[in-house]
Amino acid sequence: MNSQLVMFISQIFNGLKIGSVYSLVALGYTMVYGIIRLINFAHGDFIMVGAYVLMLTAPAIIAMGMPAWVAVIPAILICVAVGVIVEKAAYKPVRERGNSMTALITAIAMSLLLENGAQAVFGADYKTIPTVFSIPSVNFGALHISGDTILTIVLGLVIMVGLQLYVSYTKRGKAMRAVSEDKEASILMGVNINSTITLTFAIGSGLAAVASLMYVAAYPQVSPTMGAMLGLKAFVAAVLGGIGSIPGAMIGGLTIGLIESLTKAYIGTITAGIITSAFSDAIVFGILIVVLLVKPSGIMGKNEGEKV
Amino acid sequence: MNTRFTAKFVTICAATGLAVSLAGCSGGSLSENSGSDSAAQGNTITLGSITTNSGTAAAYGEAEVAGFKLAISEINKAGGINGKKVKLESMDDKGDPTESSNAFNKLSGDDSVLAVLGPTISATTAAVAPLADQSKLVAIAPAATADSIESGNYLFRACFKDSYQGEIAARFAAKTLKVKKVAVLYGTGDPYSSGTAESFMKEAKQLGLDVVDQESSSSADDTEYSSQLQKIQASGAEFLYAPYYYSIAGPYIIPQARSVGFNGVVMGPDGYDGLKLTDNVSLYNKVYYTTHYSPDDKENSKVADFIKSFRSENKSDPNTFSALSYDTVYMAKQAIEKAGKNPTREQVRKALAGSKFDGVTGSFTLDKTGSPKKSVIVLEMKDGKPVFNSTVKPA
Amino acid sequence: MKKSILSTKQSYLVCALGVLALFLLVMAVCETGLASPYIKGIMMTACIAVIMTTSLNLTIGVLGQLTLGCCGFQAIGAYTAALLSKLIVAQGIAMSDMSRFLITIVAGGAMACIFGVIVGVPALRLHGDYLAIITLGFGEIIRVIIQNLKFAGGIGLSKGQQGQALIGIDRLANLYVVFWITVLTVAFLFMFGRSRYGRAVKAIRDDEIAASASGLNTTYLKVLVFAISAFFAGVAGGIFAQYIGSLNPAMAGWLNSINYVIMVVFGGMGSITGSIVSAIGLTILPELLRAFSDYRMLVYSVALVLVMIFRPQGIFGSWEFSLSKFINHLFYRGNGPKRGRAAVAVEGTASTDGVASTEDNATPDTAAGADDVSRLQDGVIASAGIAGTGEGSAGVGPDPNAPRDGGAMQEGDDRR
Repeated sequence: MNSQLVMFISQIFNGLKIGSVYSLVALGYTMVYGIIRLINFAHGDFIMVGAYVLMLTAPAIIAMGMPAWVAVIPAILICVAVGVIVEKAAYKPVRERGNSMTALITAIAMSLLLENGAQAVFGADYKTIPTVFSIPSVNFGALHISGDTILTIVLGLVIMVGLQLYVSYTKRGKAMRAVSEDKEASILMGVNINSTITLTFAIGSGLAAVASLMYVAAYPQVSPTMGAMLGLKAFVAAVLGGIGSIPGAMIGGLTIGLIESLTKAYIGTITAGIITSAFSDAIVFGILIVVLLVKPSGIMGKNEGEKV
Repeated sequence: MNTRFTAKFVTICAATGLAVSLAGCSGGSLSENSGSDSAAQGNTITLGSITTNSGTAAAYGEAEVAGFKLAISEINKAGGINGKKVKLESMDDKGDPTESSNAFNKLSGDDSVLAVLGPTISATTAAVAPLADQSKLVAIAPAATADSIESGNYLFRACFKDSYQGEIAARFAAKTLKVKKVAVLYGTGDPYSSGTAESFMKEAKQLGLDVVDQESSSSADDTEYSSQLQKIQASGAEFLYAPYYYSIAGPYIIPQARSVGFNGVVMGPDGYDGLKLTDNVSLYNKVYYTTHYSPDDKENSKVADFIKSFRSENKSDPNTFSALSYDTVYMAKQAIEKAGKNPTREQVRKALAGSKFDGVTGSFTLDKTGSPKKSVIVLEMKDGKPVFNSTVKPA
Repeated sequence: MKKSILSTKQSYLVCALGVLALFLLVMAVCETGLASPYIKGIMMTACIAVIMTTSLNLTIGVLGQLTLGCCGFQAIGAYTAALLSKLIVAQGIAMSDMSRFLITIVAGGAMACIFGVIVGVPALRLHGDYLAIITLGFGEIIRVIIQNLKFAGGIGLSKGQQGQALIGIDRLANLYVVFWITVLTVAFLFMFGRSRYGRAVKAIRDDEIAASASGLNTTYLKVLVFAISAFFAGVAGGIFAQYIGSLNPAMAGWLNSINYVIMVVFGGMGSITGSIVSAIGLTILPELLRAFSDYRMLVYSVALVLVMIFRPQGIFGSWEFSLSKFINHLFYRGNGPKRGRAAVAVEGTASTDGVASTEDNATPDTAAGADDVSRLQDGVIASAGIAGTGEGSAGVGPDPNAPRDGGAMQEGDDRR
């Protein structure tokens, strides 16, 4: 293989590495947004919570002779608990009394609360996490592909298919779609809205814990603010893919990862050094803006006509 | 706009203009001098501190506060300054220039404050520098390294300038490591990162090194650098200068560089001190950094004492931020003692300017811009432990 | 029929006197040395926050569109003003500090306004969360671009350094002048809200499809609002640059924008009074909490959640304070003026900063508001009902003292 091609394929996999993490996070975003139309700014911070639980429980799990990734189980439990509490204590009352703007502010406030709460408990300093997986990387000649990346993508695909099947075929899943489609009508059809929304939050937060596992496998460090930028990028991914769409979140996440990686790698050469790799964040947002202007519902989203 | 609307608005504008001219524009200016010359009375000396304790740079601010607190408790145990107890008035600026200038104004309004420690980052320090001049109150920044904040007469610092470290790293690469092809990776959003990288490149070119690749990231706290590192690897560089903080270089940049197959030298500035390591410490071999002190320095007894007492106080190892802020407090102490029994702020400044200081982070003299001239120590990571490599004396 | 004790002109006068009194108070505090540089600094910060929130309130409260990019415009204004100010000095153009200050902030505003139009034309085709995320993305793009501009770092212009904070900006901001700029901003925004444009914009907020069906050029009006909002954000940026003396690109980030959005929602969307009070309050509050430095962000976020739960419409809802109404109330306690001329006089109200409204005062006709809107467009019929949803209907109600459009907006947002 010539070196240019190896370089290109390596860059694709570099993009998939971060992109697969974005997808996992975006899946959680899209579940929640799909049903209550709320940008859950605190979702990135659920991942932070999951990562701290991993950090605290992993040494004990290893001491018990189990593989470190088993620590994801307490992480899922804690994240689900935090997600449900946030929903019951803050989002539900605000949803009942306020409008979309106040709900958004509440989400931002919850995000601040979780970040500053974590800082008060754990301190602001960065903490490293022990290795959770030791998967050997796959080698094709000069090409090295990290095992974590492949696992993250596979896991993301499995979760995506699982969620899609769940939402399409189970009774609970159908209830979720009904609530997202029309709240009033689903009440009339006997759907318990509140328990459906709570379930959605539980699933979304559980996904956050899984995402935090894959995140710390690739980026083994936790800090109180680690979720902020990750959450924002993942949200952008969800919007790009078509928010509310489960395959869309997956595609959006991988796309954002690829765009980041390829712009970092090639934009300098293409523009003869005028635009450098430092612009990658700007380019990600630029592409998001273009996609939204051309197809406001995102890549996989369905166009909704406006109701009069 | 329709005419009625416009006409009415113009009338109001005119009336306001009139009111402004009547009020006279002489007052209300915020740049009048308000320095108080009253000497600090009473039985305590207050040191103000402005640090970034919330937001993304909170870890650096917290490390600084830990250093301040350790030094002040030591000073108080040893009897205080001029027999007076020292009190720390600690303020958080959230990394926001507005907050830091409000905090500084608040401290400068308190007559018992003789010196301000901080701010943490270059952005907030740039906002405080003109205020320090205006209120004639010294600010000693422990770790704000940007060259550009060297303005005014009341801002001092305990750390190297960006340009200084970048030059030394380039010389180390050319003279000690004798590499030919070097590459640079830096974060454009961070003055520290881009400042040191820029001076490294300038000096490297002068020394005849071949800068084969120059990559950057949008911010200095990204997590994924593989794309840039892959290009650096492909460019055939033997040496990578990557000025980032310990929290980014440790868990992200160095392991990612190794995983894309870069096995050359990675070098960084003093931000690497307290590097966060992953389990696989062998990744960190061939990593060098320039810093202020070496843990196994036998000549400077202050270092061992500092590390020991920091560990017992905080249950963790100190990083550069803590070491520099620890010295900052002692710099203030030395200046206040030199200034006399009940010194004014102006006397403190005079005592501090050009003074010589022996601390954990080395022996140095403050130059006329308020920055220290001190020797740089190069450390090398061996099996996850920083080991003394060499000392570079100031030019 | 009871009459208001104040005629329209008198109520203007009352407002002007109110503002003047406030100004004299500020002046007295500053000149007598009661105010330390700390207090003056907070007053200055509060003025900048008031300009930001009231202008943001125009987009969020009056137009009903959420933007998270206001600090992008603020940064554009700030950098434009700072660099222009440096350029004027570098070119050796002689002018007084005051005129340099005013010219640069207007230039900053104009530049932000241009960008507002450039961003607004495509972005405003979207609404709701999509618009929010687009404007957020825009702010981030601005941040990245500024940090890569060589002339916008270090000491700037030809000797600039990429990636550094822009420093050494002359600190020309004068509290008195900034005070009057703030008053002008609030006056303009208040008048705009009550003008035929403002009512048309409120019609769009309440029902965009109906508004456009009745002939309003919704795109034009939305972009207009966006541009005005951007202009004042740019002005606030210009003042900020010349108050703080140094700039860094992080100011354009979305977290800063969210701070101002919080202020607007906190005060009550659509209420200028609310924006002013919460801008001042939320500027002072963190300062008061300095004593609890370690936990103040925690306290702040909990307080925010509680307010959103227990008072989702914000502190003031859409209620406006009015000095003349207040005086009226003193004289006709519990016996509010009825309709017609008197009601109109009450309409000539003022916010805290004593700003008089215009438009309706001269035309006591209750249908005037609706007429104005329809006249704005060519050949429009049947608009009265729709356009009347906003301020236009104000005069119709039997008791203008009752909160008018408080509920309308909530409903408008909850509809789907």
